[in-house]
Order: sequence, then C-alpha cells, then structure tokens
Amino acid sequence: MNKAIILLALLAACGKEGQGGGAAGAGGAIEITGEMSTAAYRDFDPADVARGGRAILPLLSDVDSFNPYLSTSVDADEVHGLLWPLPLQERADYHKGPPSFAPRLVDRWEVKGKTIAMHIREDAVWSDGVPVTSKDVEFSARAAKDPDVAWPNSSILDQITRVEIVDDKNYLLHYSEEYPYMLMDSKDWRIIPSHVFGKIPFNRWKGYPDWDKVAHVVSGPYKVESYKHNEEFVLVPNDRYWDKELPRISRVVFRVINSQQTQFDALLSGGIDAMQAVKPKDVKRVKARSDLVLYTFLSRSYGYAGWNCEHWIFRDPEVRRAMTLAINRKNIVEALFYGYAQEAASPIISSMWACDRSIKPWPFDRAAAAKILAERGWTKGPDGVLVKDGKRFEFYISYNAGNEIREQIVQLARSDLREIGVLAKPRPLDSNVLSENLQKGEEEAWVWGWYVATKVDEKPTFHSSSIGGFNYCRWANPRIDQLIDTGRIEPDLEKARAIWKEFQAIFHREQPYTILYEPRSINVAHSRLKNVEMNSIDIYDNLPEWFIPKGLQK
Amino acid sequence: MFAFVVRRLAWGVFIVFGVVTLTFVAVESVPGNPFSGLQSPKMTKEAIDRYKASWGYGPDKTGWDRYKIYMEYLAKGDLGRSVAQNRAVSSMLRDAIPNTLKLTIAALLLDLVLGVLLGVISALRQHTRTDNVLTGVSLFLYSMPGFWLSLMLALVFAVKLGWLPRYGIHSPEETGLLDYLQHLILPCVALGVAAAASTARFQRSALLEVIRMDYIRTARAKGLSERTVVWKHAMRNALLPTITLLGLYLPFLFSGAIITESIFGWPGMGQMTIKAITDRDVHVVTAVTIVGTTMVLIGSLVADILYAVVDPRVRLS
Repeated sequence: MNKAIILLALLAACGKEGQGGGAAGAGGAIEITGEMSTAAYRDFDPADVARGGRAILPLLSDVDSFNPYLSTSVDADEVHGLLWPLPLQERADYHKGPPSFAPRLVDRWEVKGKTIAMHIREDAVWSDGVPVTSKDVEFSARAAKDPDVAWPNSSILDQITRVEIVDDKNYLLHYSEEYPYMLMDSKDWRIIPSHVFGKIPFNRWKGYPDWDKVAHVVSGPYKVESYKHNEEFVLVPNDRYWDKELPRISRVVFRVINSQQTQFDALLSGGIDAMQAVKPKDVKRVKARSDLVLYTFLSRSYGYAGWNCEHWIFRDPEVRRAMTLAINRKNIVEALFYGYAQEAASPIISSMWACDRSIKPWPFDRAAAAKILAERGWTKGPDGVLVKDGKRFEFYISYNAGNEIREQIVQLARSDLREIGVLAKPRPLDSNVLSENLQKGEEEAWVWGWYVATKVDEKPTFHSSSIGGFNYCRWANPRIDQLIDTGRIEPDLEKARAIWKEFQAIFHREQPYTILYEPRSINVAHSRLKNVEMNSIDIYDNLPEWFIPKGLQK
Repeated sequence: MFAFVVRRLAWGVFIVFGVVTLTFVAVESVPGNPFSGLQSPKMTKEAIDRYKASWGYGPDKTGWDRYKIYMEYLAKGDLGRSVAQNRAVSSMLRDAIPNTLKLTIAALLLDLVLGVLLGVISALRQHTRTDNVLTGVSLFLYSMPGFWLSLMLALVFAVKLGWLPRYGIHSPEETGLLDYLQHLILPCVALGVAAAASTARFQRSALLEVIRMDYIRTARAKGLSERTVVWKHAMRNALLPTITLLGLYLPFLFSGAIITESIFGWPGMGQMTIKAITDRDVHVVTAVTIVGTTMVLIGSLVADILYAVVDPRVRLS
C-alpha cells in the first residue's frame, strides 16, 4: 500500500525547518535521513502499538560502572540514561541557537539572574517507592564535585556554587556568574538516590564492588534485572516510572560485543536488533536487506589533519594553507565515506548555530599550493622533494593504528602532498601513545577527530591556555584567545554569533587544522522495532517509546 | 617425588616474582597511560588530573611508587584494581579464568584425540594415499594463521550458513548446556584443529620410530594382535613426546586463545588481556602474567610427573 503514502507522510514529518530528512529504499532497507536527528519511520498503524517483546542491543565495551560518577565510558552513559534520566533532555535543535530542553525529571524551571529555580515532577519516585526529592539533587551535586569521587566531568558544576533545597520538590541552583549555558550545566549530571548511594561514604566509592546491585534503584523507564560482566545485562521496565505508558519493550538485553565487525556480523545474522556507527562501506550490505532500516544524520563530529604550529615547517600559516589546498578532501569524502560525509571548513560543525556557513572549504588546488610554497622559498630538490635552507619538506603524519578510515586518509593525503613535492611519512601509533604525544607537542602532523559538545566553546581545543591539554596543534593567537574568552560567556546570541564568525574567519585563514570531513552517523535497526527515532544528542533517547508489534515479538 | 614438587614450586615463586617485576616495568615504560580515553571537551585538565591522581597517577607519583604500592597489595593477596573497568582485578579473573579454562581444555581434548588418532593412522598407513592426504591436510591446517582460520569458520558456519552462533558463550538470557556447547564449537575448533595438526605430525614420527624397535618385533613374533601391539606396546612409548608437548601446549593454548577469544567474543583471559594492554591497565596485565606464568610452570611440572607415570624408567629427583 502504501509505501508511497508512508514515504510522503515521512517526508512531510521530516520537513520541519532544521530537521530535514527523508526516506529512501527500493526493495532493500529503507533509509531514514535527517540533519541532526531522524523522525520515526512510521510504517505502522497506531493500533499496532503494543507492550512486550525483547530487543537485543550491542555495546562495544562493558559498562565500567553502574555509578554514573565513577564511569568514564560513553557506552555506559547511554545505558545510565535509561536508568537515571537527566533533569532536562537536550533537544537536537542546536542549528538555530543553543539547544532547547524538554522536561524529564524536572518539569518546570525558571532562570532568574544567577539562579535557576527547578521543580522535580510530583510523580517522580525511585523504583523502591521512595520519592525523588531535592535532597537527592543536593547529594548528587556533592558527589559530582567530591575530590574522592574525582568525577572527570566535574567542571560542569564549576560555576554552581550551591544547591539550595527549598522543599522536597523545589530546589535552587546558585551560579557564580550569569552565562548562556547555565541551563545546560544544570542538567548534565545525573540525579542518584541519596538513600542508597549515600550509605557508602564517597571515599569508599572507588573500591565498592557492587554498584550493579545498587542500580536496581532508579528513576528511569528501565531497571537492571541481571548483569553478567563482559557478557550481557538485562533491563526490565521500572513499574514506578512516571509515564505509565512507557517503556513499551519489556526486555532490553545489552550484549557486550567488542568489535564493530562482529557486531555487524551479528546484525546480519539476526543476533542483535540494532547497531550504531555502521561503517560507510557496509551500508551497501544493509541496503540489500529489506528487514533492516537505516537511520542517518549528521554526527556531532569532524575529522581533521592537524599541524603542529610550533614545528619549523608548520609555523607559517601560509604553509598550512598550502597543505589544505593540496589535499583532495572531496576525494576522501567520496572514496572513503561513500557519500556519508561532507566537506567542511570550520571546527564549529555545520549543523551548529554558530557555524559561519558563508565560509566555504578551501578548494583542492595543487597549483595554488605549489605557488604558495614557492613564494615561501621552497624549491625542488634533486629527488623532487622541496627543500629550504638545506632542509627537506618532510614530516611524519601520525594516526591511531587500527583505524581503517584514518589510515586510508593518511595514504590519500600522502599521495596528494607528494604531487607538490611534500614528503609526508605515515606513522601508525597506538591511540594511547598518540594522544600522549599530542598533549606533549611531540607530533608534527596527525589525522584525528573530535566529537563536539552542543555548547560552543573552543577553549579546550584552541585557547593558548589549553596547550599541553587538548590544543594539540599548539595554536597560540592572542586575538583567538580574546574571542574564545568573550564568545563562550556572551549571553546575547547575535553578539556571540559575530564573535564566533570572526573566530572562524581567522581559523580559515590560518588553518591550524585542515578540516577534512563531517561524517554522518549511520545506525541500523531491525524493521520489527517500530517508532525508532535517533538523534545526535542521545541515541537511545526514545528507546522507551520503541515497540514491537504483537505478531513480531519473540 | 614430593620433594621434587616442593622444590619446583619454590622456584616457581621466584620466577613469578621476576616476571611480575618485568611486566610491571614494561607496562610502565611504554608510552601511553590508562587515561587517554578521557578526551571530552567537557573535561578540564584539572578534573582529569584529579581523576588520574585518584588512581595513583598524580604528578608526585612515579612508576616506582606505583610498583611499591602494587607489591604491598600483592603481598596481601590483593591483585589491585582495573582503571578501565573500575573493578577489582581478582573479581575480573574470577569471571574470565573459568571461561578460558573451559575453552582451552576443550581445545586440548580435541587436539589430543584428533592429533593422536590422525598421527596413528598416518603412521600405520605410511606412504599410502591416506597418509599423503592426512599429511597434506595437517600441513595446511598447521600453516594457517589462527586468526584467519577463526574468521573463516565464523564467516562460513555462523554468518553464511547460520548453523552456529557467531559470538559469546551463550545466547541472550540462555544458560543451558546445549546452548553453551553450540557456542563452544567454533572457538574450540579454531583453537584445537591447528594444534591437532601439529600433534598428528609428532605422533606419526614417534610411532614410526617406536614401531621399528626390537621389542615391537618381539611382540609381533609372540603372536599378539596388531591392535595390542600398537595400542598397548608401541603407544606407551610413542605417547611420550606428545605428553611433553601437551604440557607445553597448555600455556600455548592460553596465549592462542587471545586471538580466538577476541574474534568469537569469548569473555575470557584473552579478551581481557588485549583490552588491558591497549588500556595500559597495569594491574590487569600483571595479574594476567601471573596467571600465565603459573600455568606454564604447572604445565611443565605436570608433564614431568606424567613422564614418570608413563615411563617407569624416569625417576624424579
């Protein structure tokens, strides 16, 4: 019937500004696309919505802790989101301005100067029947900041000076200053039950062996029923969850499968029902299957080639620009990502409100690159490699060994650069070693990627004070420092936009990085999983709303 | 024999101590640290430093300090904590060792049964077509890299044919024996078949050597059946090199399982070791080395004891 109607409905549903998207598929897998999220593939009748069934989902690594303040793993954070939802949920609408928020544990809030008043929903109850109260919020904030707990994300609360308990359901967050991301910082830490976690003193948290048993007391749609380290754990509905209609799937089994390739094999052989981060080269195999649905959207990340600005070759911004001109980025996007990426020009990704979309990537122009280098005094040596002051234009370009795409990028870049007489020598390094070398400034050039927050803040990666930290390219530009310092706290959106525009103009001119691509996030779910939406904020955000029609439940 | 065993065990303690020290120094010396995964723009340098310090990697702590603390733990029987998994290493070993042992013992049995059987058939039919075929197959299997064999088995029997599970030790929420055995087949074959090929070659040579000896000729002259001659008289001596090999195979299978376990998602020591090395998780790597060394020592001790049992001429002293 109705494939055409479904597609039309879908296109209409996805056509909201900024959401973009659509669906495609001819006999094989349907592909649902969007800019920062996908709408649900509504190939079902509302009457089919049912509870029950089992979904099997993979994790690349085991949950490192069922205490969110001891965990550092991204995989674990996705699971924690189903157990302890955040006070507010960020929406994937950061293309117009800082993201807006949907109510979760907190249903009302008001920002008043340096204070935010928050109200916990009246029906929020822990799974053991104890109400969720402001005391739990205050306890969680203390845990997040405690030096014995040493939560690596504790800087989120740096500006929160105090959590004031007004009554059981109302609390105030006092900030040291007024800034545009106060609301974002008010919700990026999970509220945990003080009557359970509080029984163990903070200084004993690290050594406590049974956090998986504590995880039975949750406020979210699911709770942990069973857990086998490095194998699997089973989530079942929390009967005391505030939304009595949710969750719909009655057993969610997370299986630890350490390799992406094994996950993909398992997906094809029916061993798992969904998978994130499918490799672009595998999309063709997914598309050949009519029982799978592809969900793709722009990932909040970018890949780049970095140049050490303190290195004698790359100290000159014009030389760095020549590198960018000489690398065929379009070829990288087409040959390695099969269209599941796009060229980019800025470290502020194109889906972000602060991105200056008028800045276009430098073209691939070998002649222009060669001309710049000739003007800077580089001449061809006997073996064709450029030479200046008796020193050859050769350097190591490092990447993390085992990362297939980055290895191929380095090979392509190497051959592009060789055409203009530049000798880039690939150097695969263990990612552990590479990141340590980068912090110490011991790499000359490298290929890497960043996953970016929705909060526009370039301080960690480009401020001179972050050299030795994540400012791997060791770019020190006083004007850039000024722009970052003002841009990150500017409350007026238009003023902030202007500041970031100037930042990007300087970045574009000086090219401390050659931005190579912005990838699309490629995810797959079995078609028996219905009402699946995916977004770049939280991949399992609407998992409680997924369902399996009665006839398809196993 | 008792004095021999005690002396070997005492030496073993010294060897383990040396290996622990070397491993600790090696992991501490290589570049990288367990915290390279902490790369979020939300994390400040101060917060990361505080986190590192909470694991003993503060700016005032050296590798030597960490070694001293670890040896103190070890003296109390505590194997330390994994930074990456945020968990006591002893608890990780408790989960992983039984899984690896089950896999390696199954593979060892496959190796022994298949290897000895093929070796005997090959030797008894020397220079026949059967011998040539078995020799060819053995050499083919023996020269195949373990990871390639594992991948091919997974591709054919799990992905293409769908006859056997692709990964893990159980299907979701299953605990039954049959389900477990189905999961065991592919990794066990991947691990045991190549070893069996090698055992078959050794067994063939050993039996050929023994079968030409005078006492075998005497046995035949006495009118004993060929079965009795081979299995009762010849095999007793021909098994000696195989037993030596098996003693040495135990650690070999343990290390071979590193690749196989990773490919088949078998949650044992192999998978744990690879992750720990990648993560520079020093306590886990050291603990795995302790277990590995202990297995080598026990393996060679058991082989020596078995020698004495099988061959009454051998005396342990």
